[in-house]
Amino acid sequence: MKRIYSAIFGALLIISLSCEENFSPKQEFEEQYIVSCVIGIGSESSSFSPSLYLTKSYDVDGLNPENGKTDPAVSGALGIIAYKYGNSYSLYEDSTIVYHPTIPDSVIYVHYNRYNNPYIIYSGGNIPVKYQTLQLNITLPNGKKLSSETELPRGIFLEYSYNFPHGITSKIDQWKYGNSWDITWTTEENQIYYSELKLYYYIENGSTKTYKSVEVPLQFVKNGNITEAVYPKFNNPGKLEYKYDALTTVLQNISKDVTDKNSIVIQNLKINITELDKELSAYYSSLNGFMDNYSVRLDEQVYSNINGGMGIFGSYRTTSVTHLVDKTFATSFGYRTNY
Amino acid sequence: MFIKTNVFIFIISFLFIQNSEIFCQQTGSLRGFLTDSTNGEAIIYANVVIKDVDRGSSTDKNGYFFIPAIPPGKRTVIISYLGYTTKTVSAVIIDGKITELDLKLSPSSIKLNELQVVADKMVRQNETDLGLQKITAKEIEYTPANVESDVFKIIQASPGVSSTGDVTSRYYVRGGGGDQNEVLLNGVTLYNPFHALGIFSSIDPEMISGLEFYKGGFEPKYGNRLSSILNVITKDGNKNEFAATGQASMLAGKLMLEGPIPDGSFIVTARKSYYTDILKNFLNDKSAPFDFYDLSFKVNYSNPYFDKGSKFIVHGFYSNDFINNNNPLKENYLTENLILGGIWRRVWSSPLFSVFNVSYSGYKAKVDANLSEAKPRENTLDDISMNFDFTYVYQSKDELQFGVQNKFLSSSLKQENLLNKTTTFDQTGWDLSIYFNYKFYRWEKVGLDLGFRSKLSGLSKNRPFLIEPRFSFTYLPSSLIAFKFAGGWYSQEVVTLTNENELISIYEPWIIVPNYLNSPQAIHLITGIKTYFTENLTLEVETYYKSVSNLFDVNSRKYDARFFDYKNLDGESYGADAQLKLNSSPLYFTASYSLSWSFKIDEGYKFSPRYDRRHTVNILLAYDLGADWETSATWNFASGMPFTPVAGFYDRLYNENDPPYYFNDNFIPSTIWGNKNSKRLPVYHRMDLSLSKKLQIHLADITLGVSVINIYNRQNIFYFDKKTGEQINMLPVMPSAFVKVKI
Repeated sequence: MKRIYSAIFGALLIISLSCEENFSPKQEFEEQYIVSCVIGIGSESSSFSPSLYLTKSYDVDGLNPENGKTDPAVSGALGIIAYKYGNSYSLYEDSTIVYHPTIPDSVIYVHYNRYNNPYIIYSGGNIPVKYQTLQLNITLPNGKKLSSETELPRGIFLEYSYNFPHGITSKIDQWKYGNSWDITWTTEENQIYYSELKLYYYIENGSTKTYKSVEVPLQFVKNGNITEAVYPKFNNPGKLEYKYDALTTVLQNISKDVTDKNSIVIQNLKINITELDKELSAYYSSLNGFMDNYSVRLDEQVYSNINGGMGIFGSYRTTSVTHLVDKTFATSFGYRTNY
Repeated sequence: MFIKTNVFIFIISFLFIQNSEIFCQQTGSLRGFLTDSTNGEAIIYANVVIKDVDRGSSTDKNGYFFIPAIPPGKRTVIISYLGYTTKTVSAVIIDGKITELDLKLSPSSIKLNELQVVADKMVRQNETDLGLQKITAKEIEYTPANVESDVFKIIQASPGVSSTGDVTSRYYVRGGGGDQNEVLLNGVTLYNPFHALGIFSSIDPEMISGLEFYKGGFEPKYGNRLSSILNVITKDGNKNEFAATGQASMLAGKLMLEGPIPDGSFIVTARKSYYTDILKNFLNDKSAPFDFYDLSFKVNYSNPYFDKGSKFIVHGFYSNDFINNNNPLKENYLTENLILGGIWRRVWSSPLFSVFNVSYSGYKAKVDANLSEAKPRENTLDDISMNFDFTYVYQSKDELQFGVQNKFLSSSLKQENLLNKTTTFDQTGWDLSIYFNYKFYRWEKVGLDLGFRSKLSGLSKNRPFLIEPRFSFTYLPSSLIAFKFAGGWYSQEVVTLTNENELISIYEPWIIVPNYLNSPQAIHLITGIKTYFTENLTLEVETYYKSVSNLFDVNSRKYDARFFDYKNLDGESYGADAQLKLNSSPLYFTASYSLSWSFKIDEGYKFSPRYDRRHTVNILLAYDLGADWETSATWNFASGMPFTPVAGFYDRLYNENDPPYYFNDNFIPSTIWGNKNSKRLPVYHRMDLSLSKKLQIHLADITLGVSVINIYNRQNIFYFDKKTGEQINMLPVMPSAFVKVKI
């Protein structure tokens, strides 16, 4: 019986070692066109100029896409943006977006892609922000058509837990007003917001001014012996709670490497809330993981709203509000203000 | 309805009790419990035969046997079980009466028999047991440990069962999804039977007496799952003397205490991980600080002066898995299970056997996000069950099984999505099911089960009023071969929100099927042939077809709250599996082969789920080398799993968290995925070896063991990194060891 056992064992071992095979995790390559067009609108913008990137898919040796060496940019296409007026779409007079080969070279700063080529950017004239719903239609050089649609964010209005009449300060009655400065706004469902609060200041050295800015975290937390800052994330909070202690700590920290505190001049605090439209929110969430009510998404799915191809046609709008720092509060650190 | 239905069942059972005599004509019956003489543990699946008359039976999972229709007179009873010394006793059978005979068997002193476990040739060959596999604790021991001995590894090696790799104990039965398998611990649903993200089972093999594994076509007593039922029966504890067993592996330490109490026994087990570094071989995240432990207990009481024929059991189980990062900027994870149950088993004066089971099973999974990017999630499920199960045996040898099962279930899900919106999904329900199953055993060559299960009240909203017919048929043209056929309708109203394309899941909430979806249903059709070449050599071949509707699956096109998270889709599976078993001391050998096709249909696109394996071969060899040395080897071979191939690459726009430079000209080369699961990975195969030696030093029985996983270091592909294309393999060659001390 021991012989049988040995024989079976030996046979299995041989079978196991002899089963090597060629394997490729690829299927037949399928060419696809990718549109990337994200419209950004500033707080004061009354119009925007869309920039569009058009590329096609490619294949590489192996599985690492970093090995791709051929620029996949596509030139020679024609794009048209129409806006929704009532229930129909109309062409804005300057909405044709085309690739201008001279553009990258005509500007001071030329964007180069990872193939060391200037980006091929399709651009057009300015479109007024008042048009909310936009439709994109692209005709490729081979006649194939791509289309998409997006709706611009409407902007937000901020409200505060405490309106500082003389500028923002931590020196308030926190028993009465709480230990954080709360900023709230009304959120749209299915939209993502990104928030930041930045302190702007400069260091004066004679006639030289070195302008600086630092982001104020929501709070600082202790992680063992290390103090770590917690910043807002891409999400849909509708509310930010900035601990007064965090503002105090930031103001203290800006002079850590400065010998003359009086050389620091506080300019202001600026809140930027960036609102991604529904399409861009969906695209962002598909790239950055979990967002569902209670599902686990297939990780290979990336959101696309391009009919006939892949990619994203979306927009974001940044709402900015500037506040002053209370002069007494600023000077209590040994700093000056420019107001 | 609760009171009415339950009272109705009691009235029926009462009528059976009161009218027992009308069934008794010119014959008597013999019944009793069979236990191990050394520790009082029930001996399951043993043979009890009445000599000279063609009557016999096998003990059930409680060690209980009942032999009806025995001609009156003094009869010789032969009790045999492999590994035990055959015993012959006399019993007087009285016309129209039931003779009680509790029996004890002594373990055989012949070492050669130790490897033999289950008598394959059952006394009752017309048993309607198609799809049922009975597994003893000894068979679990044969399987070389994946660092830790695991009950689910032997399930994965069963014919018709597949897995998705080395790093998971999850199993898929005949094309069904992972949550379509129910694990019952002493009859109570265990919702998460895994430790450490599914790498190991949370059920300590040390506490197991036996397993009943229904791979399909299960009888009306079982419901609530579409694919399989794994009934884990735990030990009662040593009724004769106190004993302590300690065991240490490279992952966890465990302790078992057992002993007698007045008119009963107890058993307590505990296991705790202490060196989770070894888990780094299993996981992609090498830094995850895993920890887990589990506890169980069981107390039995049986006093004929208190209530003759009754046995009272109180049992409990608790398992806890957690990842505690001890960092406010990182998330923590927690999963826990709690089971508390009471069982009243009674043999009545008539040929009625009843089991009353009341239990609580709680499950909790939580992601504590702290200040990390993770989103907080919490799921709790509370299941209070109360079941009354009856078995009545007629003098014609027919059996009637009937009962009422109540399940009060509450599931709660609370999650915060990326939009910081907190979603709560709370649902409660009462599942009131009744079942009847009539087993025709009156004919020698035919066995036939006809029955149904009916839901009078369901948990979910969109479920049909279901009467689930079930049948099982066995035909024996000769003593060497049996033809079998079984089928039925099945439904499931509690599902887990698991994406089976996720390679490792850290959070698996269980919920009642949401109101916007229909409850999953399935139809099983199974045929089989069992041949008895010799007493020790059997071959079983089964074919199956399973049609599934309203499957619960992830909505892969959900990108925000506008879409539902899950959707219904349909599926089907079919195939054949075979198992050859040789049980000839000192060799124990099983070889199984499965051929299967499994599909899901999603909006017209038909694809194979990840666990679909076309061919699977599992071979187990266990050999008693003598002088208390034992060795075993397993070899597993399986066709490659389906996977989604690469269709090309593109430069994808991505964002930088530095406003205002969002999405401007930041491009990252990325993969375009092809049709879902349209290609297959290379074949999987692996060989594991184990060797153990038993020693006796003073009062201690010591077992030393070593095992080697993937001994020829086969590089089985787990997946390809989606960013770099790097091939990630399953477990490499990996030795492990354990020591077990019993006092």
